[in-house]
Amino acid sequence: MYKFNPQLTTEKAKLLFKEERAINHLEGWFIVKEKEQKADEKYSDLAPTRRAAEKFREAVKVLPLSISDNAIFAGTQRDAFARSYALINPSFRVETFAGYCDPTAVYDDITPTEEFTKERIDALRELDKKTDYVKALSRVYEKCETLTGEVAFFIEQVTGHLIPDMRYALKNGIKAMLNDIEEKQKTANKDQYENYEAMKVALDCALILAKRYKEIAEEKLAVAEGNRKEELKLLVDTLEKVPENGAETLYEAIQSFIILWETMCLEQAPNPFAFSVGNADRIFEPYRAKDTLSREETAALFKHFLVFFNVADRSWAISQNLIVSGRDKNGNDLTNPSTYALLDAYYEMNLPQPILSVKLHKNTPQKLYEELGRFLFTPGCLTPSFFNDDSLYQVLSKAGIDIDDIEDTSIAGCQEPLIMGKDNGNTTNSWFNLGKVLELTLNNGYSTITGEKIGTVCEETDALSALKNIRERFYKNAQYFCDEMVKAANGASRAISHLPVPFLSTVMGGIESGYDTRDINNQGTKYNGSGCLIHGTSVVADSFIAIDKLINERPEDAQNLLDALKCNFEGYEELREFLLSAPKFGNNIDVIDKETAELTSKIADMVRAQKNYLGNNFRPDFSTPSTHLLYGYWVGALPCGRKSRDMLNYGVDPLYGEAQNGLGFRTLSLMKLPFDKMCGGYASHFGIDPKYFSSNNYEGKGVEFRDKVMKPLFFNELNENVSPFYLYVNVTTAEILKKVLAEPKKYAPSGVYIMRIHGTFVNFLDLSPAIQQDIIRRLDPASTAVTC
Amino acid sequence: MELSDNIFIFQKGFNYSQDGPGNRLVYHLCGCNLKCPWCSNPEGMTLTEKAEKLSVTDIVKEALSCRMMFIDGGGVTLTGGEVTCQKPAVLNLIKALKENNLHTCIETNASITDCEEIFSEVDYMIADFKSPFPDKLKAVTGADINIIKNNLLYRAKTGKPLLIRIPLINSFNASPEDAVAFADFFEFLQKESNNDNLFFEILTYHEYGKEKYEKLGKEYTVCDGFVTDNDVKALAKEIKKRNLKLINT
Repeated sequence: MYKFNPQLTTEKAKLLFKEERAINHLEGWFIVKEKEQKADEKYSDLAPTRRAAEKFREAVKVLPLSISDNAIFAGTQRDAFARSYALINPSFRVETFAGYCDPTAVYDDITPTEEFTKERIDALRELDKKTDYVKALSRVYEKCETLTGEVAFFIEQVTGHLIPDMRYALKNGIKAMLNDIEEKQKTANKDQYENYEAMKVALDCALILAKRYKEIAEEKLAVAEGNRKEELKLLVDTLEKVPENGAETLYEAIQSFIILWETMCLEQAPNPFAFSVGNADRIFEPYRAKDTLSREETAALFKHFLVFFNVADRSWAISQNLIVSGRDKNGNDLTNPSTYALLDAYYEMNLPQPILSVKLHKNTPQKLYEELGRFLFTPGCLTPSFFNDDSLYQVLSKAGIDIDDIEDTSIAGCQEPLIMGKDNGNTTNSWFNLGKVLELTLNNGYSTITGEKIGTVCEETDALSALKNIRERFYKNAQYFCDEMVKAANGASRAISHLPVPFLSTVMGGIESGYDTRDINNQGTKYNGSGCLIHGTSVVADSFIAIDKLINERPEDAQNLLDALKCNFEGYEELREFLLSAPKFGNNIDVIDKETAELTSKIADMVRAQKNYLGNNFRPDFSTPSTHLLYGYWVGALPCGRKSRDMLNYGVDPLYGEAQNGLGFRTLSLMKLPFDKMCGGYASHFGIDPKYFSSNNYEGKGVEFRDKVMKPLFFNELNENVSPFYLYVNVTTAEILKKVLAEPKKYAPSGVYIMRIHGTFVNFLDLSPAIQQDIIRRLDPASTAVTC
Repeated sequence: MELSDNIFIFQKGFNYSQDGPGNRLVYHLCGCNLKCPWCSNPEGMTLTEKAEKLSVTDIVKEALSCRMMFIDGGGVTLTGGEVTCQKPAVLNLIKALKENNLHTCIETNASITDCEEIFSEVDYMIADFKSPFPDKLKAVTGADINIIKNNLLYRAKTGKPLLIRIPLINSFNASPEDAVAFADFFEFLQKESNNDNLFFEILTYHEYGKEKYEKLGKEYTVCDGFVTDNDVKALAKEIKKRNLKLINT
């Protein structure tokens, strides 16, 4: 077999990425949608899943394809994405963000050209508006408009955000999957039978793509010379074999994966954000081991694999997570040679996608920490998210996941733990804004931002009584908004079921169940739930404690407090100072830490008790992927002293500026939270000054990072509760980032300076200014200081 | 409340292994009797208005609430400034922490007299030994070498852990003559005390405190204090040659 030269292969990967970054227009998704729309009538008699698959096949047959001269694999996911994602859009403004609720807004993200004329774009937009999906979704949004207008809650239809399990397909090929389906059809009911027919057609789409790529490769081969000729010959032979048949080499496995992934994304075009790879080192290690490739050779192939996840000029396919390492159910470490090769590929390429996560556990080998040091301590280099696999076992088994499945936990999107191929979590289905609920509770249902009546279920009362009973009144309202949110969220899930996903279903347990992943009557995937991202825990808890302080020390100011909130503390500066002096979460002060833990627990229970469209429970997820900023913009002043429109606290963290005593005290506060109830995930960020790590090499710093940060937080033998299971860090200072912004050419000559914004990492220079400033503010050095 | 019940600090926080064993809650106490020009905490040299006053009870309470962080044999470390500048309160505090089963450690320059009770009470002691040459030490830092040697020997003879650190600084204590003289004294200490828990560590010069001098309006007078790998190796070689325990924390 042709042997790739690691150095030349790496150079090509870099050139391939450069080519990709030069693409500033994306129309593939439009071609797919247009073709599907045109074929709609032709298949109108078929069952919905079958119709979707047939339409998709029509699109796949005509979608323009190509293979770059720098590519060693064939395939792209470029045609599944539009230039939509707000936070990396330079024109994005916090003030105007309206969510991703209008499915036809994507037509604004394509620039009319001679080929894609305005008329052509508008025509398809109008047709799209008439689809069952868009009509159903619009009805849902219209119904809850008053409540979502200022984001008491928000809901969305979930596309992407899942983790397929490709292992069976890689090992056995589509041919075997088709055989399995035939076998299943023998005992299937009518609905299942039709669904299976749809899956067969959808799988055929991957074969069509492979065949078409093979033909392109053959044409190129005919005129190729030297090394390229050898590469293309291998590519042709490989595409002849996979994904139809099982892969045997690492090269074949990666090629097969790419075609399957492309098909999966195209099926949900446009913008199936946050599909995730899963436990990549375990997926590929069997093939690498059989190949006996060296670490360098393996890394070279992975570099091309990583480039595949980057779409166009700003890596528009966001939040694609790839996870490595972890443990089995007996606590044995699962790190393998592919883990280290993947890390090498990541480090050398330093790409904005796919985002890297690492599962750690108490038996993680020191070598892994040593190898991670370079990521943490190289300025502008991507950093992994960290997951505590020991905790994940506890959290997920409590949530009802079979112990044998937990080994396959990986991360969808930012930080939501799902089981690869078995878990349809609808992770971003609903978003709950506790800050807004508190504002409305204190102001009799009226917004202090706009004066609009939004809603409350509490009776009007005098100021002092309202404050004295704030907890009871808040939770009563929270229940009301939560119920309304769930109704709307389930409506959105029902709306998206109008767009079945037969291909995705084949890698999400659909061949076993006979049902589509999005089916709302029959569960297609082993585990199912709906996510709820909960915002504002610590600002609300801080507010409760500040209110207590006011009632105890100056009850005569009860009405003044309510008045002060209405006018954003203008003229009430002294009162605000008084409120700010109340204990704040994040400083290891028991009274406020306990309040925050109790609030978190109660809201988690409230959300967990809710049922989704299939009767499964919602999953509390305490993460705020930049929405602490976006939703904070719609929250008025709060009794903790936070001003109107300022950000909410990020994830489960203290509000920036409130934790003043350094890393240890902040860690102690964090550890009091009920992580066992956060089965949907949570977010937490430490901005750490590199000066606290004194080793003179990356390996030593990696071990120091383990000892100073991870061990006390994740693997603390003195912690009797379920330990925290997620953390991301930025090891830098505000001063460094300000320099990067002022002189990008000096500090980021490649144009790429990777930072984390939440679960995802991005090119800092691609971000909109509001998000750049958010990162700088949230580094919050006083909250993470280490003494020295 | 008596004066000996109050501790004045200028900083607190956690650190792992570099300020005693395991993960530790570290209090930086105000005031120092020396004037080392490389000091990385110049803000702690004097007792200023900015100092935070904490009672022994406050600190014990806080330490107990932090217990969960004391992993890998961690506990409370008192450092400075110079801890023995507040010796009555420090002694009370160490006793109170120990009564609550909390592990205690001090970092000291060991240059103040009449601290024996602290040095015998504390669980783990880290002491600087900056120069083996009396005149140079006196001129640059103001310390009396005999007091230091006596204190180190006293502690070493208790049999409890003592870590002696050498801040290695170019043109002050990094010559081959220094290396031999350092190691000779350490060997003497080991032989005299026969302490199995006597450790040595070389710290290389850094300038973490340099910015602080500017902020305080003070002049930073060390120029070219950085040592080479060879300087470190030379001292390490002398220490190891005498079968002493050289560690890296």
